[in-house]
Amino acid sequence: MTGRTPTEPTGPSPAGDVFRPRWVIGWMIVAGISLIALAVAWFTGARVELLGALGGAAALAVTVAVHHLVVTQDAGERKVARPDTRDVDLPAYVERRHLLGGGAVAVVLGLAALFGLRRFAPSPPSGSAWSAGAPLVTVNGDRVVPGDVPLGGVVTVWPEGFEGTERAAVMLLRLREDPEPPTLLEGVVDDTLVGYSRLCTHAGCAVALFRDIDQALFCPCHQATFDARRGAQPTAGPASIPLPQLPLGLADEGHLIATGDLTARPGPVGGRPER
Amino acid sequence: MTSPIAVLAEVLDRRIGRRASPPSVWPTGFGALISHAAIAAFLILTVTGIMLGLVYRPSTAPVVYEGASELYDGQTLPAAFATIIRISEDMPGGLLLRRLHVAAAHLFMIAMVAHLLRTLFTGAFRRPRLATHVVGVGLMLVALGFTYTGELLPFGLVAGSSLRIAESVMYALPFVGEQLAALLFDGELPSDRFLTIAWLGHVWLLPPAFVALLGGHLWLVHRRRPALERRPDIDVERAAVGRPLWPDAIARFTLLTTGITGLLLVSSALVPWADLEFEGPFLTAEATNSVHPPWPLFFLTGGLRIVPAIDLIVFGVRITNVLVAGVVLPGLLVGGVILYPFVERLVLKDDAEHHTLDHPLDVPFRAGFVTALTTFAVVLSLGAGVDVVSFWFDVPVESVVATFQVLMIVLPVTLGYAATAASRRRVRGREEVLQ
Repeated sequence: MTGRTPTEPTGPSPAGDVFRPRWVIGWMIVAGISLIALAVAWFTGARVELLGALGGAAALAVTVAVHHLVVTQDAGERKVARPDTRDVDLPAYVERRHLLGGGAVAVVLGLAALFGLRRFAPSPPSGSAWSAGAPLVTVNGDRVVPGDVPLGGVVTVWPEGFEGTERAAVMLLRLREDPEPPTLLEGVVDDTLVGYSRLCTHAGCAVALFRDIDQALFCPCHQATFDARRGAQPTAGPASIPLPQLPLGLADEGHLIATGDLTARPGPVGGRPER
Repeated sequence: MTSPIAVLAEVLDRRIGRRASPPSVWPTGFGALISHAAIAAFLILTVTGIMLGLVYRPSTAPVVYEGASELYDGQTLPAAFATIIRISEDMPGGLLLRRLHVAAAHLFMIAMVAHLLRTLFTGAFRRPRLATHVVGVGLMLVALGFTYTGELLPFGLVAGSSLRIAESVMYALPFVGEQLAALLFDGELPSDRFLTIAWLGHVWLLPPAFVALLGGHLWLVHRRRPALERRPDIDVERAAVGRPLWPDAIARFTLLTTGITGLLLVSSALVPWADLEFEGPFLTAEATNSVHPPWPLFFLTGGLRIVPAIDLIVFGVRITNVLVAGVVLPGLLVGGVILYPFVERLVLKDDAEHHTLDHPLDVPFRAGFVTALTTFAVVLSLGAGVDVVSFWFDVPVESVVATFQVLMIVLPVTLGYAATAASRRRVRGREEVLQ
């Protein structure tokens, strides 16, 4: 029997410390006054700092009172023999056969759920709301012309009629240098204006940041980085496939339109082998 | 005629009190305090949660907010976020309740993690406490569910991102991921359906699950008697010591609860634990720099950041960074924690019952394994801060990520080995003393 005698935060009081009812009553009165003040402050709409201080004072005053009660009324530790666990009424041990049985049931139920899901659950949309001829509009529904995107600027656009939707969000970029393959060059307007899906192919966050210095698109969630000049190929971070590109064109009236759907389904890559 | 209170006191004393035979004994030392603090925090969370839940509305539908917040007065906001602003700015004491709820949640998770580490390092999980341990890990998983859904409910900017990340993790599952994601998230975000699911979970499903598991956990602790640290006066393998449940242990628990409530209230007066005003509501296609989930979920987001980009197709399954970091690694961590007691039983060929809490370095295999597992979880968690590290030290984030990729493998191995070595030295030293 080694080890040290345990210390307790609420062990018996040192000798001579006897129960003093006045001490307990006094602190309970402090707690009561604090509580009344708290109620008044609450209903007069006081600031959070005052409410917190009054509530804290009440709770801590109760703590002081109860602490005195606990340490002076301590009846000491009780000692009991360890029961023979085989007599205890619950299955005493998690035995191998319990694990195997439970595992088998879980596997059967799991497989049933999986097949049910595959059979009956809806499939996610395969494409996006973009189609050939769809005008590019801002979140307010204003059509966008090439001059709206300054050098190094980013404008988020949607197909007309789908403003503010998640999967169709596209960012228009005005690059400093001409894009190169694998960028879809026939989808580039003005030689430098490109559109990419705003949804990260990693975990679906908004690729919200454009680093002008190296023409990189950067996702703040997990630091996936894409080269905007080369078809938004991933250059660093956890993403493994490029952002889908939106082929752009000009309508006769001069505003920007899409000339087709995004080059791939927008959003995270998913677990399906084909994409 | 005796008063009902006297009858109740008599019954309590005989059933669970000082005169019960055998008495239900509960440890009251500093070690036991950790787990008791988690329960105290859970009580605070329940009370504040009920009060907040009366006002909260789980909807993404746009509403016009009119009220005391100058920042948002007259603006169109998602209904969920609008109720958060209403609670914080327009209801007396609302902000205090929200801060207290979040502060208690921090303490709750800290205490749960500390209790789990104590269990693993001291070998408290050994027979006859295997079931207690498994139920305890279940409590931990429910607590992580609370953390995730709780972050989602206000529907702030960060919540929007974590919604999409959860969708992408589901999406990455082989065979059924796409269907599962479509079912739960209703395709297009912001999805009312998923916010409703999160609310159902946080308010109606997880609390009863937690209470049921906690009841089972405590009942098992009571039936098996607590495992205890070695002490000079008593052989803890043969006898258990502690305070009777009534009134001694319950009085101490009350004391702990009021003390924690007081400290958390004072902290809520001083620290803006839950002020979402400047974060703003979820906006489609928007995100900001420095997006981080609550710290208990750092190990998930850290993995998503530091596991390299992967795109492999194996037997018709596409393996991506998201699958590895969002499913495989967390599965290994949780699986390691649940199964370690069974592994230790096999490896050490020790099937006997143990009631003593070991020193963390008493068993070399355990010291090494648990240290490595903990280190791995900590490195993954710190990986959530690669952007912060990059900003502080002004190094490119790519270099920070590469460093973490190395640390993720090297640190657990090195520290695990060091702990095993230290443990061996300690065991050898003790054997020499005995001889």
